[in-house]
Amino acid sequence: MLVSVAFGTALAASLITLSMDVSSKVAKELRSFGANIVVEPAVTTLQDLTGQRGYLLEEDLIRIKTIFWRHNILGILPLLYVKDPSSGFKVVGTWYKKPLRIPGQKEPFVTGISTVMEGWLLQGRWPAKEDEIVAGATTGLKIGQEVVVFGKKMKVVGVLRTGSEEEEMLIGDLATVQSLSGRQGKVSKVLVSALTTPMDEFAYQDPEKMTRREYEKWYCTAYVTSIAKQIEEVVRGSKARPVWPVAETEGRVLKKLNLLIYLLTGVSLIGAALGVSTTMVMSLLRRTEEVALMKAIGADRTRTAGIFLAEALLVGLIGGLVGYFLSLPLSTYMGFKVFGAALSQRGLLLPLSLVAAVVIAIFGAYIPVRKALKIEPAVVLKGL
Amino acid sequence: MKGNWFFYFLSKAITERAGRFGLSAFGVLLLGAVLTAYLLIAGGIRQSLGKELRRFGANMIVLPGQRSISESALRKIQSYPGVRTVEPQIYGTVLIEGHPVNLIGLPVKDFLAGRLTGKLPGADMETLAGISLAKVLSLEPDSEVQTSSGMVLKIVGVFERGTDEDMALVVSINTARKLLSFSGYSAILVNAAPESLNSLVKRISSELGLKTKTVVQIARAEQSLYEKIKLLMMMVMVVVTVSVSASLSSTMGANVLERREEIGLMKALGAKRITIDLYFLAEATFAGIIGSGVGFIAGIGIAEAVSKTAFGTFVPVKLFVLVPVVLVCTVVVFGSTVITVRKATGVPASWILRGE
Repeated sequence: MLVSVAFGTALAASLITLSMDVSSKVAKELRSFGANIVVEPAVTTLQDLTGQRGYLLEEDLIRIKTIFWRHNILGILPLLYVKDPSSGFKVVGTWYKKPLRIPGQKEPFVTGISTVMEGWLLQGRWPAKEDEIVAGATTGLKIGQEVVVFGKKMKVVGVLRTGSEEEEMLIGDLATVQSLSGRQGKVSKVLVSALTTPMDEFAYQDPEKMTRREYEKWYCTAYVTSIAKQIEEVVRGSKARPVWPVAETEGRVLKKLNLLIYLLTGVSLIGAALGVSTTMVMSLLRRTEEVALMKAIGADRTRTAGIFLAEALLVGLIGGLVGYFLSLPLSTYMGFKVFGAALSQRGLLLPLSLVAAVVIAIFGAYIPVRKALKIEPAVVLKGL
Repeated sequence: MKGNWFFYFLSKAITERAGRFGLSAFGVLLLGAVLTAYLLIAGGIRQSLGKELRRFGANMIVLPGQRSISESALRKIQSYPGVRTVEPQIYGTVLIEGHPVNLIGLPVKDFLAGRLTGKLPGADMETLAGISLAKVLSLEPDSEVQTSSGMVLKIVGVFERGTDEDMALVVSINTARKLLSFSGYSAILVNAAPESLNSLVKRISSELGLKTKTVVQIARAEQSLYEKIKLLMMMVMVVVTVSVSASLSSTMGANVLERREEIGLMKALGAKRITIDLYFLAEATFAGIIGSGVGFIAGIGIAEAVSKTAFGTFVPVKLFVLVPVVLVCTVVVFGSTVITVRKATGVPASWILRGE
């Protein structure tokens, strides 16, 4: 019986920690579908929109990591699009794995294609020197070939597959493209990957029509709209917009997956509790005579029930303890295996295991206790 | 003679100990139900989640290659296996105030506009304006724009999508054809099941002479998400199975231990160990068949309820799931019975019957 409770508890504790944590893990996983915020220069005239558009300043980018929801910013990807008039090539300057120094933080924030568009496939490697460049897959250029861009001989060291317009371009390191094209410190647009709270009805209201308190609540919730707003405030001359197909789908999928996991956890917990219950009923059936004897010599209902509940409690506690030691490696293993990172709520495992075990054991004792209370001592002891 | 007492004991065991027999069967039912539910949901996750994930956008773009994109090419692509949605598009520019403005023709009824003020176009010449464009031209629902060629477009809605469409006008396919005098399509945005993308790319290029581009990050993200969710579910399923099996085997074990006297009696009457094994196994088989059968049905119920609640769709019932379910139930039931019976029969009959 102890084994059964221990397994049941280990299961319950692991599942509960898993379901508490899985939401944030899945949210992170969904980020690999692409950036959910795009930051572009604000436009004021039709000329801005259709002709040569303005630029954002590269130096403002680190400020994105200083907004209220800075910890939710998972990646920043600047893009500088230029056209080389002599060769006809479109060139985009960006980051692959750029360590950014954030003021007040020891560890640099590493960002670029590898964090925002991790699905983009880079064959070969990212340029390490100023005369190296990556070719988009549809340009037809191969690794090792040389191209002349802005009058400079560049060596192709990688090929990038994206499926977007960047695939037709040459892709270089941001600093290289800036200096080649004489646009030092400038970027055309910035893609941001941020962890967000799914949009709800409240979030769809127009922030400008909110009351002060509503506005504060909106601003301090990690909605994709409020994060975009905060980015807009720190990047000069910018307009930040959510990428709605990504942002909205992400929220929907996240809600559904969470629900799925809660439901499965519920089903499994009920399964475990019922399993423990059958074990306990079995153990009661074996002791019918014992209970009858107790009743015959004067045990009242409370006492009869008390004995079973006390036993359930004890079994629960011991089972919970064993379950805790089982669930510790179990939930870590599951976290690593599925998401490549340990689950973060590990401190909660011990209390959770104990509570889950006791609840399961007591719940499991419910049916046996009711049966025990119905035992007629005379009938049982006479062997009828 | 032997056969007689065998079935006599067996039928008595089941009828007179209906409660205990029911308990064992219930244990198997639990195991069967949980296993069935997990297997069905994990098996159907691609379908139920895929419906949602396609909203992330196209994972393949079909472009003109040796041939342009015709209506019949669109129909063909739509009919290819693995294709979930197709969205044909027509690109062009119209001059407004002397500046070229992008115009996109697409099936506006299905346009995922993001945030939309106003409504989607219905009639001819009704137009949606992207938010960036609307801002610089001060467009609102119900305003009108005149192209340099004298056509008048009626703006019925302004949308923010966060993509390049925000700088463009969006109209229906018919309106785009009229404005741009264009036949066929400029591109088709396809959302296909990630596992069929490679074969689609080949087919579209060889059969239709069209070029394709794979939107790699969407295709790869979807595939990796499925794999992770499936892995997660399978791992949880293993843990649940172990846990429920532990309860089941202790129930089955208790059932045998309780009947040591019966075993002693059988031995005293001259039963071989194997006969006693068979006797208990026959009882366990009964419990197993009834339990896993009902469990399978209950599991389908659970899977459908969970799937309906979480995804709003039912999962397809795959009957072959019954195979692993019955297999696991049998192994657990037989295993726990045999182990305990062997323990009980290892003791001389006289000891048991004397009450030692």
